[in-house]
Amino acid sequence: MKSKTLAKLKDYLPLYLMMIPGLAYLIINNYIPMFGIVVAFKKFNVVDGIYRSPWNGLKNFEYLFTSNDAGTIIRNTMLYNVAFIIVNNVVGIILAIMICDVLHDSLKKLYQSSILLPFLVSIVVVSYIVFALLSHENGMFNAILKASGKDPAQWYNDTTWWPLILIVVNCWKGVGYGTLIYIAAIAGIDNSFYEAAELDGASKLQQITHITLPCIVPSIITLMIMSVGRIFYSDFGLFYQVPQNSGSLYSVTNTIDTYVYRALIASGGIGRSSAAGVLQSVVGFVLVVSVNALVRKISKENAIF
Amino acid sequence: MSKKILSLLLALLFVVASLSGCTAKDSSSDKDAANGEPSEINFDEEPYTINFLYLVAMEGTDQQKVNDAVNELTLKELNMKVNMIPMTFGTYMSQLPLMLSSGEDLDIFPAMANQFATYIESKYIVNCDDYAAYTKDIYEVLGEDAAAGYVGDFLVGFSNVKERSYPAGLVCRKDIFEELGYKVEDFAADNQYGVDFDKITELFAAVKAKYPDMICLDGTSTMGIQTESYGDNMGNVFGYLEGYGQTTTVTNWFESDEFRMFAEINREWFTSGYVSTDIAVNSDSGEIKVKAGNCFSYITNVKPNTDIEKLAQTGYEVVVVPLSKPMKHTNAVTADLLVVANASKDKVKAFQFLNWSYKSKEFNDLINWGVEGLDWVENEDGLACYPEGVDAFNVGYHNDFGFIYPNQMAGHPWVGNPTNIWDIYAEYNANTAKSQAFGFMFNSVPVETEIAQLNSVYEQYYKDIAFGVIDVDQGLADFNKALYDAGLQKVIDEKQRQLDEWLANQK
Repeated sequence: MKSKTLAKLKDYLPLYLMMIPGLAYLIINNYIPMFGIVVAFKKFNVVDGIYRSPWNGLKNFEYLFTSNDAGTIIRNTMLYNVAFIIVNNVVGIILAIMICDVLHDSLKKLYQSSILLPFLVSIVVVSYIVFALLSHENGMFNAILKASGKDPAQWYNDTTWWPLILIVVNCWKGVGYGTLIYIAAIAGIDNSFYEAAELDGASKLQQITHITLPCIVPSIITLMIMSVGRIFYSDFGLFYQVPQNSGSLYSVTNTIDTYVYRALIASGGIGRSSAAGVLQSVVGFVLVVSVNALVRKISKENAIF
Repeated sequence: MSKKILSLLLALLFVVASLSGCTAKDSSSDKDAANGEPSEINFDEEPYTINFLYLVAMEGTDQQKVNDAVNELTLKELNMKVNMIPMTFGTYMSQLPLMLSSGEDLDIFPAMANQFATYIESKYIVNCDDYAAYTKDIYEVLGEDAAAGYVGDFLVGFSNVKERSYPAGLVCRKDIFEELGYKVEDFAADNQYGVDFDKITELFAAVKAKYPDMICLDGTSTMGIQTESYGDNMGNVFGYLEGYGQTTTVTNWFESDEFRMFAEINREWFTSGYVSTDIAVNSDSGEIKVKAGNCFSYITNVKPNTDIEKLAQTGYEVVVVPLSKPMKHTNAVTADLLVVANASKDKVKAFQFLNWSYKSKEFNDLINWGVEGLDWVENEDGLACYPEGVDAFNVGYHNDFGFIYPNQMAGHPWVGNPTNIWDIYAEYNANTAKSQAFGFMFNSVPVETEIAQLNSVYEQYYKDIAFGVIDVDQGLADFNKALYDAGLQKVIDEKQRQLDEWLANQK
C-alpha cells in the first residue's frame, strides 16, 4: 500500500512541482489576506496592530443595516446584477452565434474586436460618452427632442429611464467578454454534427437550438455561477460615474459599493469598510455554493464542484 | 494523501499568519523623551531621515534638484536628511490611507479635517500636545491659531499660515462685467451678508440679455453649499451655529430661513435659465468652466488676492463680488493640519523639523517655487517670478500651494501680488469676526454610525436643493425628513453637549 502511494507520488512529482508556483500565488494573494477578515470585527488602531486591537463585535456592520436606504440598496444591487447576468448572457450568446457564422475571416476578427473594445474603455470615459448623449444643456438626445418639437428631458433628475440606461450601458460595455468565451465554446463543437444536421435537412434555427445551445451549456453554467458569486458586488464606476453622482437618481442608482463610498467619504475607518467587504464575500460565497448545489441536483456533470 | 497535504498547508498558513501578526510597534520609548527639554542639535550623530509627505500641483521634472537642495539645507541647519514624498491630491487621497494603515515609514503629512476622528481612533497620529517643548517657534508664528487643532485634549497638528476665513464670492469675467457698466460697489447692501442678492439676479438678467447663449453661473458651488461662509459647522454640516457663529445654540441649518432663502434665489436663477441646466451633475470647477469661454461667473471661497490667483486659473481678468462677510471659525484654521505620524521612528526629531519648517525662508520657497535661479528668481520688488526663458508651461517645478505648506509668509510672494501682500493678509485675518465656538472641534466618534448615514443623505439632496434644480418646498421637506430619520437630532445633541462642555471649560 505504502510503496504504491510512493510510486504514484513519484509518477506525479513533475505535476506537483508544476503546481507549486500557482499554489504559492494563491496562498500569498488569496488565502493569507483572508486573515484580515478579523479587521471587520475590530476597533482597529495601528499601534496595537490587527491582532491586538480591541474587539468591536458587530458594530462595524451597523451602518449597513440601520440605514433607511438599506432595503433600496440591497434591492438595487441584487436586481441589477440579476438583470445584468440575464441580458449579458443572452445578448452574448446571440452575438457569439452570429459571429461564428461569419465566413469571411478578417470581417469575423473585426466584429469580434469591435464588440470587445468597449470592455477595455475606462468607465470614466464611458460616463462622458453617456453624458454627451444625455446632458441637459448640450446632449444629443435633448437636441433630437428639441428638433422634433418635444420638451427636452431632465435625464439626470428623472429616475424613469435609468434602470434601462444602466442595463444598456453595462451590456454595451461588458458583453464582449462573455461573447469571446462563447465564441471559443462554439468553435470547439465538432463540425460533423452540423454536417449531419444539414444532410437531414435541419434549418439554421434548428441547428442552433439542437446543437449549438446544448453544446455550450457547460460554459453558460460556469459563467453564470461565477457571476452569481459577485451578485452582492456592484461596478462602482457604473453606478457612480455614469449617473454623474446625481442625487435625484439615488433611488435607482444607489448600490452597496456607492453607499459605502458615500458614507465613509468623510470619516473612513478600516473596520467599517472591511465589514462591507466581508458581507459581500459571505453573501457571494453562500450563493455560489447553493447555486452549484442546485445545478448538481439538476444535471450532475455540469456542476463546477 | 490529500488529507496530509491539506493539514500541512493549514499548518503553513497558521505559521505565516502568526508571523505577520507580530508587526505591532513599541512606542513607549518615544513618550519618555517627549517630556525632556529640547536639546541642542547634535551634529556628530548619524543624520535622521525625515519622511516628509506634501502636496504638489503636479510632478515637476526638477523634483530631484529640489530634493537635493532641501537635503543640503537641512543637513547644514538641522543635521537631518529629508525624504521628500510629493503627491498630487488624487494620489494623496488613494495612497495615504494605505500608507497609514500599513504603518509605512512616514513622519509628517498634511491631514484633512474630516479625517481627524478616524486618525485619532486608529492611532495614526501623535498628540502634538506631548511635544510642545519642541514646537515653540510654531506657537510663536501661529499665535492663538496654534491651539485650534484640539479634539478634546488631543492636539491633532498645526495649521498652515494663510487666510483665516472662507467668505463666499462671485467671481465674474471682468470684460463683460464692465461692458454692462457694473461696479463691485453697486452690489453692496447694508444687510448681514453685505450684498444685495436681487442685484445679482439683475446682473445675470443683463448678461443673459446681452449674450443669450452664455451661461451666467456654473461650477460646483453656490451659497447653500458654502456652509463655511455663513456660520460655524464645527467639523461637519450636521449641526450648525448660524449667523456667522455668533450664537452657542446648535441648530439644523437646512431648516433655517437663511438656507431656504438661498435655495429660493437659486431656484429663481435656475428656472430663469441663468444657470447651466447640468449644474447639479457637473463636477468641473468654475475655473474650468470660465476658461472654456462660455461661462460668465462662478461662486467660490475668496480671499484678498483672489483676482490675481483666478487670472492664472481662468485666463480671464476677473472681478470678485463678495457674497458674505468674512468670519473666522475653527474649521477655517484646521481644514488641514500638518501632523506627525505615529509611524515616525523619532518623533522628537520630527517635531524639531516641523518647528524649523515654519521659520525657514529657504525651505518654504523651495517646496513652493523650486530651486532659485532655475525655477524662479527674485525681481526688483522682492517678489518671486519666472527666470528668463521660463514660463508656466516649461518650468521644472512650480506649485503655488502656499495654502497647504507650513508658512508661505516666510517665503516670497509670487509676482502680480502687491509687495505687502502678507501685511494685507495679516490685517485681513486680524479684522475677521470670530465664531463663538472658535477653538472647539467636534469629536464625531460617539455618533459615527449616524454620521455615515447622514453623509449619504446629504450627498443625495444637497446639490439639487442648493442649485435650485428641484422644487424648494418639497425638496427641503424631504431632505429634512431624511436627515432626522438618519439620526440628525442625536448628532445635534451630541454636538451641543460637547460644545457646552467646552464653553464651560473656557471660563
